[in-house]
Amino acid sequence: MALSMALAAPMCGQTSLATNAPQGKPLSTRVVDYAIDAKIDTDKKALDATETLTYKNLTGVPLTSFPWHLYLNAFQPESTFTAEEHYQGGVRGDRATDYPAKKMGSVTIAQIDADGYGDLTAAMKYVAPDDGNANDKTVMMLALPKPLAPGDSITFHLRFHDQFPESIARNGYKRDFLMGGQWFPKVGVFWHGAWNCHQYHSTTEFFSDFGTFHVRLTLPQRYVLGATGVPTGDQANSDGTQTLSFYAEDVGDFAWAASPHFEVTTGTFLGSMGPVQIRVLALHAHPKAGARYLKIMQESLAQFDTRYGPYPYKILTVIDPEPDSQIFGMEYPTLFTGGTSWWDPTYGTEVTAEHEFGHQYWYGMVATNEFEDAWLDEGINSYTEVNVMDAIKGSRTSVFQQPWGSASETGVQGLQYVSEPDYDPVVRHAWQFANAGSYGAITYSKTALLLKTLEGIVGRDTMDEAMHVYFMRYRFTHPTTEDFLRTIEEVAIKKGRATGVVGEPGGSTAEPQVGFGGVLLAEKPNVFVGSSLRPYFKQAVYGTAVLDYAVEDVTNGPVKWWVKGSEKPIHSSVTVHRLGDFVLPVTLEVTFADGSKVRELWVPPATEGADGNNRWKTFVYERNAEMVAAEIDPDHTVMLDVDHFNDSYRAEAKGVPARKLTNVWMSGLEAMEQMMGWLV
Amino acid sequence: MLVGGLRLMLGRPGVVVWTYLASLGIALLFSLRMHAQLASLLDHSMAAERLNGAFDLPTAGAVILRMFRHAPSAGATPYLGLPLYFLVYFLLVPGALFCYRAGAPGKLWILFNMGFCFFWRFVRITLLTVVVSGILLAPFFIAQNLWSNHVDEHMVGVASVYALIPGYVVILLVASVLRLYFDLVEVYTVQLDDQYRANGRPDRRVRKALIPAWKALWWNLPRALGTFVLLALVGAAAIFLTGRIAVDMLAQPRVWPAFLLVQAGLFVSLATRFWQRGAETILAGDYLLPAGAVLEDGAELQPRCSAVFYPTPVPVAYAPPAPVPVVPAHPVLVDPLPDPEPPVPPVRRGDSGMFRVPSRESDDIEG
Repeated sequence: MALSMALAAPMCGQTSLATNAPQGKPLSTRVVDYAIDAKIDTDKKALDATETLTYKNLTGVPLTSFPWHLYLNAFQPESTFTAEEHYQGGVRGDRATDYPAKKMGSVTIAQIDADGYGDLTAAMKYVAPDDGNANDKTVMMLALPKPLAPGDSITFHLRFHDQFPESIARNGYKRDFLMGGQWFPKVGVFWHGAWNCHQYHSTTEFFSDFGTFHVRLTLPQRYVLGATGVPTGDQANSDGTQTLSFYAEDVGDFAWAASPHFEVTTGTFLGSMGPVQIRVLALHAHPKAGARYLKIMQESLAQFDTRYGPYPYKILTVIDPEPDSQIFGMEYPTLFTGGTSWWDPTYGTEVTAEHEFGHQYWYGMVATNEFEDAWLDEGINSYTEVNVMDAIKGSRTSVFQQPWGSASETGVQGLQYVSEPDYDPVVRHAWQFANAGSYGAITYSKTALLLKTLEGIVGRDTMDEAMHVYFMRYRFTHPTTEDFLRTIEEVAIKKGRATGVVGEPGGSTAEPQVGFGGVLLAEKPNVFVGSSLRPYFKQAVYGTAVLDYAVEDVTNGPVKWWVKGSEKPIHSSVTVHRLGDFVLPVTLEVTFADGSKVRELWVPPATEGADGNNRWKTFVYERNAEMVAAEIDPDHTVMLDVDHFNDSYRAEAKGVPARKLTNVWMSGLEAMEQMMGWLV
Repeated sequence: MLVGGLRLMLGRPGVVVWTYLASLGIALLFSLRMHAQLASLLDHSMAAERLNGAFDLPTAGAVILRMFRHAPSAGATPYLGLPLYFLVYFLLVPGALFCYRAGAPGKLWILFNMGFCFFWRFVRITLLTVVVSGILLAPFFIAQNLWSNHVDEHMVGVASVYALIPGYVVILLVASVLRLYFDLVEVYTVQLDDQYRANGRPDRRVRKALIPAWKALWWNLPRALGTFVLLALVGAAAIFLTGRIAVDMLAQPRVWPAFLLVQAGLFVSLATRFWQRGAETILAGDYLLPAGAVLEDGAELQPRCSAVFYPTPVPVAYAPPAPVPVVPAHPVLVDPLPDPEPPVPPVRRGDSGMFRVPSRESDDIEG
């Protein structure tokens, strides 16, 4: 109550209850206004609720129908979500071989009507725009008897019932913990001239309009509850329940989590837009989690505020979910679930919390379409995760740090990427990936690595500025892939790190055809269509080419080899070999025995054949010292390379790494031998 | 038992040393190809520096991923050593038990000879072990699984771990009792080989060892199980401690300290297993098998496994305990035979080392 009063107290010059926006002005175009009153049955893991949605038609066209997301209906055996998870694997769960009753989830609309339109219950119809699955009930289309004119509003009234499954894909219950995510009928987004309302898939996340939420949740008093937005009321009822009220604005969703075992830890971060209350709801079984979450959130807020822009909301709620559930690590507006355990010697707790917090920016505020452009959320968020965690915990130790070993964010992302590097481009719609493994490797890790590699091309300062400009320009606007890429190009050109390319007005700009060095392909100026970075984007973002350059054929020998006893000068050569399809300029550093070093830059031609050879290049030297080492990418900026072991050659062999791994392997083998011996 | 077992194990160091060398040798042999692959990948690569004076886990992971993707057979080859070691161990254990029982030196040729001789008997024992253990442990695993589900429903964190530990301890204790029992069956099976069946063949019936092993275990359960569990814990602790310290050495730019440390732990662990075997041999020595069968007429004695080394009589490597004086419940009957007894009539045929009940027919008795 004290917290809600503190947050509700108006600050100097501010009138917004939920954000630190100057003068309380809306931060987003508020299309929807939800008012939900729900009674939660914690024993039956269900709820009954009423919902009022006011939708403002800002589309510029008359609307004759409204699609609704009914996400909880995905948790049924016939759904597209379950079929995909069974056949292609899920992001969070194993491939299920049975479907027990406790995994059943549903959202059932008992009645829906609209002011001025009457009862529309009979007009509800399930549709499956993505795969035509007649048994999928995750999208409901509601036809209006008369169109909604542009600029007008419509107010829907619904009664619905939720049955939560035992933890599937970010949702449901585990023991007496209950997660209300994607739990209410939510209208689709009218985007780029049409309704955008995809089915729920095993790999997809979400997309929503911005708006306001007034939510009342009634549940037993022994429960502690955290939710999106700021708490505005706490009423104890005579039947042993409590009714908690929340208000949120300029957000696209509303989620809550409840458990009788939460212990609350609070702290404050003073951001550039105002104070942010950090509220951690950690399980009693994780006694160290509260302090760890709080610390990493304060550090992350500071990093994001400095690098990308301010966090405008007044509150951030961290939920510590039940162990062994699929509810860990999920983002919702001003709230996310972390992931830890009673013993975590790694920085896994911190990495998860930072990652989910990062979504507040890319999913929450920038709010890209996660169905169609998942990389713009998960991928960019993985990239910022690398940079932020490296800054907080060290670039070599950002995931794990012990005296005997370490792990970095970049290393972990690289490992995940090389597991499935070439099935899909990052821009593929999330549900169209080859499988869940490819979705994870490409959407998260390849994006992080391609942006880290871009840092090496345009400079770290350029990327930092580009990310800042992108966030500040596109927050609350649902940008697309090209919006992001063009922002990078624009900043890179401004800073002299790339060459701009202009083109014909109205021409296709999706994949401008330019060569390395910003070769101008269009004759008519005035419209920016790309830059010298386009070949990189075309391969790294739009393509599936794998980047792999190798150092090969290092040789040393006397120039006058036919003269007996001749030793100097020495003829040395090294070949750089492009093994993958990805073409990228290569920096080679050659070291000689006298300590001298030479750096070479090879810019392969964009195409192969009569125009040139972009597969290999041999560098030859005649010196009085032997070549002792050659290394591609000596500054270690090309993180997209799938094999770093062949990036270099050192004449002197060092056997320790191989012996070390063999010893580990062999010791394990001997231990297994002894285990087997217990059978006799 | 503990001290006697230690003496037996230390008195025949060859047993442990040969077994350890077999384990190490097989592991080395089957790791060579993998090491060659690793060396070709890492020896000249500067990216491997992260595994030289440090231990970067993603780099190690990338190596393993590459190994299994580009040279899957090299990565899988080491596992082929497991069945080979199992086979060698199968041959060494009977020899070890024989050496402990008979006082023979733990020489490799003795170990292998005995291993071949007892091979099929130990196969039968192992199969019996697996079947009986499966039957007896299954209810415990089912119960633990149900308990685990219950705990999972209601508890989290370290409390759930504590709640599950007692169940696992019970399972380990039952498994220990079973392992101890079948260890004793193995000891008695080796002992049984010194006896002949009525047809003159050495007694190779594993089932004849079951009841003596059970009696020996039943009458000595606390001290036998205590010794067994204590030594098992010592072995496990040796592996854990040396392994843990070796992990701390991973970042060092040298390998041999970690290698030696881990090998020391593995050796100690193996030694404690044979220490257990020695202690079980001592226990079995306290409870000798009942006398063998009477030879049938015309039965030809066939060679025992031990006959290769000790034709006859079978030497006893330990002093059997003094017989416990029995206090008679009834008045002692006077021995009808005169003291001293008359000499035993000579047997016409058969093994001079065997006592044979003389026939009542007069033509079997000379004079």
